[in-house]
Amino acid sequence: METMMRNRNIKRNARKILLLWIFVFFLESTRFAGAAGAPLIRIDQTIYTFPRAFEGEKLSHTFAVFNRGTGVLHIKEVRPS
Amino acid sequence: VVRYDRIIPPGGKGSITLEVNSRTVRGKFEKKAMIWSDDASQMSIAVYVRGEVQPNVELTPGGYLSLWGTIGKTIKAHVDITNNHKEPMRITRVWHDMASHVKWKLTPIHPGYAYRLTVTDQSRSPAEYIGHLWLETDLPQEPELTIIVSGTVHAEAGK
Repeated sequence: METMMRNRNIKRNARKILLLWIFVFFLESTRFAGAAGAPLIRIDQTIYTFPRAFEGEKLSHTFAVFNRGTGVLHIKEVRPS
Repeated sequence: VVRYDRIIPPGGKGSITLEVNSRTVRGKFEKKAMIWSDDASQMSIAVYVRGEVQPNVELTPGGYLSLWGTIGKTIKAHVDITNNHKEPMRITRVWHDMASHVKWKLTPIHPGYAYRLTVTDQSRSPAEYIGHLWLETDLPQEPELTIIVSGTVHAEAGK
């Protein structure tokens, strides 16, 4: 009788552990799927006009780049011409 | 010069900075930069910066003077110097490396803003020379101006 009870507890615990593993696996897989999603580059303003400047003045402008996608965006290269 | 964030997380914001050396451009300009990313739907995007760079001081017709003529006749040329800043500019010193070939005269047209530099040949014999004339100013942005001078002086006909 005692052995039967012990076996039943072991089975119940094993089922709980299995369910926990399935749950954790599901969470990890959805997280992984998100990371592997597609990046989407967006630049709202692509043209900038500096105010009139004198020779020797610093001319610098920063463009904002957004990633509207679900994956990490990698900027491979920015090539001036 | 270009600086940029290489990795931008989903939903995140990064930046791309473009710098233009205003010493290497004159007048109106447009610079383009191509951005290459791993976005399969749009692998490259072009961004542009535009502007206009004005010289601190203008030399008209340019930074080069040619003295050409015959001994005994007046051989001279001039360059107009215009200060484009609001603050006045003084020319504090003028010197050259052409020994006894030339003399110069600086005339204020609009003191602080416009001057005329006249260079006259005073060679006593036929000569060919090339040299520099320097002007020192009190304008911090343009403390020194250089004018190249070339001279070709012939003997009088029949001599």
